[in-house]
Amino acid sequence: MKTIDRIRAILVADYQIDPSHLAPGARLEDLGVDSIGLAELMFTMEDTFGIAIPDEPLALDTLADVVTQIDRLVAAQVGTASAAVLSQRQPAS
Amino acid sequence: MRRVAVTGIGVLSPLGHTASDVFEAARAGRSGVHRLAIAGAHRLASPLAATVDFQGADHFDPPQYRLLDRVSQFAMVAARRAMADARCELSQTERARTGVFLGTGMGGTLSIDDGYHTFYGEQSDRIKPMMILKGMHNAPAAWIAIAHDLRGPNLTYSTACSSSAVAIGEAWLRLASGALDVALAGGAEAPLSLGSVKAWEAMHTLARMDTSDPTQSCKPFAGNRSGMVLGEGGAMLVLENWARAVARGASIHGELIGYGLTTDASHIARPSEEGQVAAMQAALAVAGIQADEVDSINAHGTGTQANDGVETAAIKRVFGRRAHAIPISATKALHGHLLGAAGALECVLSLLALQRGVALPTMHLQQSDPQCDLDYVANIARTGAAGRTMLSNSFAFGGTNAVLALRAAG
Repeated sequence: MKTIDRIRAILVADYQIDPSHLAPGARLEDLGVDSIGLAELMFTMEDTFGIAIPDEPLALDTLADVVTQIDRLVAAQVGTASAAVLSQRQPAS
Repeated sequence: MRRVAVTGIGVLSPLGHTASDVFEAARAGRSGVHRLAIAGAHRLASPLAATVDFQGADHFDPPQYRLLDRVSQFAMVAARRAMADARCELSQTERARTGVFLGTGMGGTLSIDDGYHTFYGEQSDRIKPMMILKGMHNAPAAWIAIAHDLRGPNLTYSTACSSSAVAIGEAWLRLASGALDVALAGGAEAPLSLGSVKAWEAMHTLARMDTSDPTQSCKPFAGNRSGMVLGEGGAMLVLENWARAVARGASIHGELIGYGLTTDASHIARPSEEGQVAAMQAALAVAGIQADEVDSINAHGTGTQANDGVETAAIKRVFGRRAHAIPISATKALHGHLLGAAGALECVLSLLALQRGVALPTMHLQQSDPQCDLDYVANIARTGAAGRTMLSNSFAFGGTNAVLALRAAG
């Protein structure tokens, strides 16, 4: 499953966001994911993708931004080969 | 001083989810106490609790539910029910000066417990980001304000077992002075984590299990009392300026006529007869009534050796020889000790007792104690005995004594 689809699945399940609103350019704020919601989303991303999100500001305005950052962190921290394996894991609950 | 009506009641308690159910269970002497079924309960000497049959996920959307400790869930659902019961429409202007006054002793202790278990117990750094927001004591009151758009004072009181009596009293003061016309006031508590119960057990305050019937383990004022049983739940009241309530044709459950608040300033845990006497006398003075006008009392009545003897002595000091003629109810035998929410739940039961004219029984009172020799309405409710004016006592570790004076409507 592609990164964006896995993030979409989490946003639909945990935040009850209509899938039709989850275009790559959708802004998180418009989706109702505020700063607190983003902290929680990042926590879930760490579990889901097996990464540690650094404690530094990330440019995360849109869904596409989240995908870009997650892919970058997976590549840096997990490695391309294992990232492919990780991407098959089910999202953490 | 302006009169204050109670126009809305919302409860979630070990005795039921509506005011009528809670009252009927208390009247019939049905206990909400049972064996506590949580992981690790075998590590407790006396695994007992009075729990609420409640699944938070049934009441909130998932995005909000994940932000709410159980204590906030109790508070919000109780507030929602109280507002619905009051049928109180608030204008934008009124919302700007409608307050929330909430008492809780332990706040979001389940979330704090969960986070520390992760960090210390599991040696994991994966503490959930919502732990602070779920655990903070003022979260329940804040969520109520958000849910109902109430932008007046939003205050949380944490004075242990008198927290919600203080919250109701402090709200009453603001309505009586005219500073506010409407307030939501009450309390919530969700203290039943394994660590929390074990900590209460370590203080030697909890009741031994009655092996013949665990539901009867809490025995206020009885010779064989051995302590209290922890409970959980929430109770919220809509307090409303009397004239406003009458003008809109509200159904009035009763009147809050006074509030006494004193501090022992002596011992952190040992109850003080002086402090309790002073609190009852203060409530009478503020209400502008004489001791002989009090028809019945809802006692703090925890079932501990220390409280029940001291409270009995304090009642005798306040009411003199007439103390023996006043029906005294200790309902914690049935709903357990809701700590910060206890005063609010007992205020609800007292209002309903006045409304229905029934003095509620003190259950499990089979063995007498020479030190506790008043009329505790032992084991059987007494119809027609509640009268028109009641005191509801709440005394706390830390020495904060709060007494609410209540009167039947009409």
